[in-house]
Amino acid sequence: MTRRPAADEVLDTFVQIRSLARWGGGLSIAAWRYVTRTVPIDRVEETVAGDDPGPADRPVPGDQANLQPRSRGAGPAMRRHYRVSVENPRMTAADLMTSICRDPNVASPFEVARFVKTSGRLGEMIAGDEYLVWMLGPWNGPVRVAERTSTSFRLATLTGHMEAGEIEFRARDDAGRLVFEIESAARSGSPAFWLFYGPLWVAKEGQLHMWASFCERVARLAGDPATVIEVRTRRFPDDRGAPVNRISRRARRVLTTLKDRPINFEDESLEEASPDDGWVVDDHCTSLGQEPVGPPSDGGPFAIARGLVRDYEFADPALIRAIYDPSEPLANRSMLLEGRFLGLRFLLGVRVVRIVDDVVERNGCFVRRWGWSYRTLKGHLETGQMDFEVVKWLDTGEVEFRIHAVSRPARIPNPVVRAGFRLLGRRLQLRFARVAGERMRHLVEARLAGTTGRHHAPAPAVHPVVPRDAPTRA
Amino acid sequence: MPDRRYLRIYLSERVLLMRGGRDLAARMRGAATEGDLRVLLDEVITELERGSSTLTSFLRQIGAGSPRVRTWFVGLAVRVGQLKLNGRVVERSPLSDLEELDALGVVIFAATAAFTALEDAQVASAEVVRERIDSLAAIATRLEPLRRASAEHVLGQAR
Repeated sequence: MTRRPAADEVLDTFVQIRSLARWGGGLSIAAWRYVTRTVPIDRVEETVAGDDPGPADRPVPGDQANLQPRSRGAGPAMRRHYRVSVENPRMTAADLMTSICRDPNVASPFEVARFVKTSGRLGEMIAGDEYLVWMLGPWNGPVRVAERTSTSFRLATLTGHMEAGEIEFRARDDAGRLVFEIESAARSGSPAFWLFYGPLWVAKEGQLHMWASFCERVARLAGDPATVIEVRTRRFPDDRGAPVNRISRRARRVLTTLKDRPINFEDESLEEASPDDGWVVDDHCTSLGQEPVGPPSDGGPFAIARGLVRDYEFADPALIRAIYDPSEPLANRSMLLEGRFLGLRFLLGVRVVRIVDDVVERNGCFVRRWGWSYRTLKGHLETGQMDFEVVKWLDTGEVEFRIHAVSRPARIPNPVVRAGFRLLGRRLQLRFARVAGERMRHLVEARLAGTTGRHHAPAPAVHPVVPRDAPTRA
Repeated sequence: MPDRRYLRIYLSERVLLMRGGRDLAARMRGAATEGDLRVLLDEVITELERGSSTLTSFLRQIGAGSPRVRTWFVGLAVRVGQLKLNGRVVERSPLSDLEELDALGVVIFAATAAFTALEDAQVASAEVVRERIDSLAAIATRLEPLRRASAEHVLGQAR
């Protein structure tokens, strides 16, 4: 056995002493700030039966192997919601989130947590970036940015984190005020962590102090000290998180080639496509409920359905699921649809070609609509375009989910697949649309009622990935 | 985790440079009599503070802290620099103006070069870095005529 140089041993000892000193110092400061806290915390705690109705187990870009979703955690699922209002903000919600995303440490209580970037560029935060959150004690928390919008970002935990799940930071402008919220949906990362979090209470209280302090600092950053931090904790002992599905190597490989694949028909306008030209044109419409007349309301059927359509959740995963890189913008996104039939899997490439987000006039009435369309890529069993739209009739308040499909069979070289598709393709096509409509209705109803609707949606249809051999940034 | 040892050292040194430059500009601001120069020096101070806080934020994000002790020494060095007489004992030497403008020009050039290096290495947000490069370049453009005018005024006496 070779002996390590004495200098290395001295350096290691120094690093260990420094870490211990930091933990000791951090713990002392944190304890002092905890007992001398002046901003009151308004706490509500409750235990709820059944599944957590809020958003959870959402898609995360990048390698799925080192993710630590709720299903891999221990103990009951917890949803914690921290909120602070800033009465006279000197910046908008978007500006505030830009500042935090440029460096989360501006709001992080340094004695408890520090965000160290392990992947991605400094001074920005985009989906797929990774951080190691240095915390008090020997448990640093690796996380990945799952989603970033102009007013929010969501982090997902990675293997080794003391929690398993996700946490979202968001801000909104609200009638002259600025509201900042942190919402986590997670379980403990392991039984040992659960011991500290649940029965021993220490980690849970430490977490509360950490995020409450974060909210306080955000309020100061936004221009006005916090007067109260609202913390709501809901415990869901029955919820163990959604099961995790795996992406096959073949699907990963095909996904990497999609960007270079052309659309499998001549670039023609399909607006006027008709059966006379050999196209099959289908229109499906499902009513999703009623809203007050006027623009879509927050948390109403339109808003819920829009999120479901955006994430391709209307597709029944037993029939088809979408695999894509969510860090890629929706416009022009290449997606791999994995169709399942009789135990066989068909990988079908499509590309998003259009996004609609407008108000149009139809039959003399104004309609607010949001949706997107894809066209089939080379290798798909069909050629054509599918449009998925959520529409709201502004004069009646009725919300609908619409599918418009223009298709015709593609040239399929494999004679067995060709024969099978001719025999069953049309039936499957109609079944997909019918099930999608029913599923949308069930999911919207379930979310309006405050449940997840998992009985209708046993597993997420969307499985976003970043191909492993995709180029990585410095 | 990527090895960011060299990045840490580079960023720390550039933070020191910008803090030293800011101290120098603040000292020049105190001694300046011309309105244009005072306005420009205010902007230089603000820009160098922004630059050093941007780099400090990058340092935090790679797990390093602000170089506090060395910053203190840099501040001390700037003060010690005041003791240089530049040919006059009682009054402020006009050469001091030129010397200080020269030094400030070098600091701004080096600060711009630092952000350009970060941009080329693609280790930091292109938007954040480009913002700093553009601001520093604008200041350098405005500082140069003042420096040349000072040179002509001070050194022209030797013609």
